[in-house]
Amino acid sequence: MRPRVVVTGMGVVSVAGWTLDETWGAIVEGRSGLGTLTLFESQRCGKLPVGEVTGDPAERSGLPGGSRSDHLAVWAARQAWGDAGLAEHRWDTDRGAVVLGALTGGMLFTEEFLTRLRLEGQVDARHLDDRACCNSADRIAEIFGLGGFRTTVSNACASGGSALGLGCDLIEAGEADVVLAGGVDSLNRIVLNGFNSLMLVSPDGCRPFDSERKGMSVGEGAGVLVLESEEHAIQRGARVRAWLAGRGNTCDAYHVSAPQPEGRGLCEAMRLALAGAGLSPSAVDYINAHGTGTADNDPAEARAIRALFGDAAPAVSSTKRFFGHTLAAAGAIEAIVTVLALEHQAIPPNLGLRTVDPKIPLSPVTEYRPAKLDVAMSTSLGFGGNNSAVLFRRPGTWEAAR
Amino acid sequence: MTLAVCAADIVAAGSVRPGAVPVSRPAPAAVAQGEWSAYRLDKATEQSLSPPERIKRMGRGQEMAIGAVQRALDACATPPERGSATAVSVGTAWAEEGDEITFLENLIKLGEKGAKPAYFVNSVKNALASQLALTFGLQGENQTFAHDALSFESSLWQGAHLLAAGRARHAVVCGVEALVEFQEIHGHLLGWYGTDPSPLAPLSGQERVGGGTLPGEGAAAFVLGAPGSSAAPLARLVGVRARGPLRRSPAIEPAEEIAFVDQALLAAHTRLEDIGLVILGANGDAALDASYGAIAAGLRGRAPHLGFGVYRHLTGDFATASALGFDLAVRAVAGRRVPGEVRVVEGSAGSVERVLLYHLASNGYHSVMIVSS
Amino acid sequence: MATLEQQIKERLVETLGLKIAADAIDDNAPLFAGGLGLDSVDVLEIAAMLSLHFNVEVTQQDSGRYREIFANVHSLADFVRERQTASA
Repeated sequence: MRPRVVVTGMGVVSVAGWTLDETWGAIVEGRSGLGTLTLFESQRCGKLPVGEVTGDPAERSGLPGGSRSDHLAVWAARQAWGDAGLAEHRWDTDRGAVVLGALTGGMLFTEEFLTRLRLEGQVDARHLDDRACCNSADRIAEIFGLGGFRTTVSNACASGGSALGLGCDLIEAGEADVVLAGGVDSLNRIVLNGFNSLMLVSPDGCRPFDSERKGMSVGEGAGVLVLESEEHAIQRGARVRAWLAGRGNTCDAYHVSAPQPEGRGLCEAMRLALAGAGLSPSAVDYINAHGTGTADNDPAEARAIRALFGDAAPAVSSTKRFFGHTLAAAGAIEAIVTVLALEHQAIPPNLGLRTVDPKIPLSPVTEYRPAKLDVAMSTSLGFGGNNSAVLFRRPGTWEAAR
Repeated sequence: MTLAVCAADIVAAGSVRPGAVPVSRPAPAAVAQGEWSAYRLDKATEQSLSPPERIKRMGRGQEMAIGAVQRALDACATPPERGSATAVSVGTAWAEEGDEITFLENLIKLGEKGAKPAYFVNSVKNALASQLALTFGLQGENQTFAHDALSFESSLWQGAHLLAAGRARHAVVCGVEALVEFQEIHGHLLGWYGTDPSPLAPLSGQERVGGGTLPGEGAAAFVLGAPGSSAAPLARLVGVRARGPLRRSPAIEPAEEIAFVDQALLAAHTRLEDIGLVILGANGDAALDASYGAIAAGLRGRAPHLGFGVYRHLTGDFATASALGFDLAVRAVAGRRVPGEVRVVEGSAGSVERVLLYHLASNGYHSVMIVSS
Repeated sequence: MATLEQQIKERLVETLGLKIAADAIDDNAPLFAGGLGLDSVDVLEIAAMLSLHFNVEVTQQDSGRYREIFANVHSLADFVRERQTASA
């Protein structure tokens, strides 16, 4: 019997807030966090709404040095650790693992180094050692003394979801009892200019699935979930937030940056998640969609949902206008939102949507809506055709193993 | 407590190696004087990786990964199927960083007008894995691991796991690193690399003028199948264990390292007595060599029959060079003898049935991989 | 003085890192269907190149005409001439 993987703690930071409560508060109030870029100057991109975290992550992480991503990740990890009560019980931290999704790492340091070198002829090596995207996972492992498996997954915008999947792999393989799994990314010039040069960024903030949508909004943040074998959680008397009952990871092998138009890869990922959970499509009550607001993503995702669920699609919303597209953190932050939705028994609204694109076969939920939710899914799609689907079940909807 | 066993059939292997000796180039004037050496792909290899039919440019890392995977696939009696039954797992510390730096250089030099979209797309670290999927039509799970010296080991673990879990029939696992000038700048400024242009001679006692090691590049790819699924695998993966330190850049304790090797052996249900050859990731850096030497001595003390070999005199030093070491280990057990280019530094290695690879990086990352015939 | 078509071809080879000589590109040959293997990202590379080297902006409003504008070297040159005249 495969061990059940449960979520016993969560920690998050984004423009929407520094805590789970602040994050859900923004959702309840329908308050978009998108705003003006202040982190650095940009001629071309300076007016594009972004999801820039307010406050200085370096002042809040408790980490003496490191990149912006490191600070965001450590903050979220500390929250998740406390939320899971992992310090309250003795357990073998050598069987504690860290799997983080990351793309940017210390890219801001790379930018600063190269800019100083080229424009001022100055060599400033002080932060070179903080560039790698694997540093965030290392800092987390060091802070909590986690001597188990440790890695960084970099699957573009599907990284967060992939990291959660790998966390499950580790627990199911008996390689770890507890996994701090999630994702992190921070704003920087390369990423903002990169997406802008691909004409993927909206000048008026992302409007997922909208007929007038003009693209995505870049965001930043971190999400960390404590995944644990149910047996281990019960043994230490942990409170279970949800059961990560199924997941799927696929690759379109279609194009370097555009999704397969029918969303076949995502459809398969969702199907795998359902199969893993032993559930049929009709069991799903809510999907937190990737829904970036780009011309290509939204229809492909909608078609994937249609193909799998037919006319009986569950409630769907994309929460990207709350946070922006937080890249490698998205799969994790949005998984957290999905679990919160199950806890609060309410569907987060698809903020920014006014009129659904007539070519998109979906009717996303546009108002905060209390609902009976037992099963919810979070989806992510990334460059390179990576697709991720993660399925959660609410506590009380299954019999815990003895 | 279940001990996880990580096993898979290694059906085929292919690699792209740098030239036999380090090649020197002028150091970037803005940063340093003189010349910097590295183990670089030679011209013939570069050309073979970039066929004229492929008119559009591809990143060097992508080309190296494709080259290694092509060689592995060509070596398969029956190539793994296209489609979702074959997964892709890539380990790379820096992916296509060359393109990311080019993108950034253009931003700096030309302003934001200079942003080149294709280079940004390639900057995303899974660009190598997704190019493998596109080139070879592989639609199974696709993962990229970017965790420095744990990257290849992560991809190997994950590839083997999803085969054991029945989520794919085959997994193409690839460790790859393309050396770019920015990496040389990074390593020289942080004191990892020295200016001595002579080839690396790990564990030979030879001192390098100015110390340090030399960077390199390369790729190695493996087609894995579930254990027992292949009629005549090259070798069998018996275990992989990779860990990071609990403090940033800790002091290395040989006794702790040996305990780590023991844990890996235990997890793989293998005894030190059963190992014929230990391949070490020593890189010629004096301090790191000293650690490796002490650890090897400790292992030899317990199992006097052990032979020890090194390989980074062939590849240079880089995070995923362990993939090339793994390739040599696979060939050793497949051919039942140590490949000539592996330098045996201690003991001898006669008929080889089981090889243990031990890697230790200066920052404390360490790993053990075990293959058997 | 090289024609606009010739300049564009040279910039194409340089920008896209093509393994062929600029002269080998036929002015009227389709850029996207087969041939050079260009794709949607390359459209944007070419747009960025036009902005940088010919001071001509391709905007989201032109997206309806992409097929027309990017059909071949000749149509690119026409587009540049059209935009340069408009701003003169």
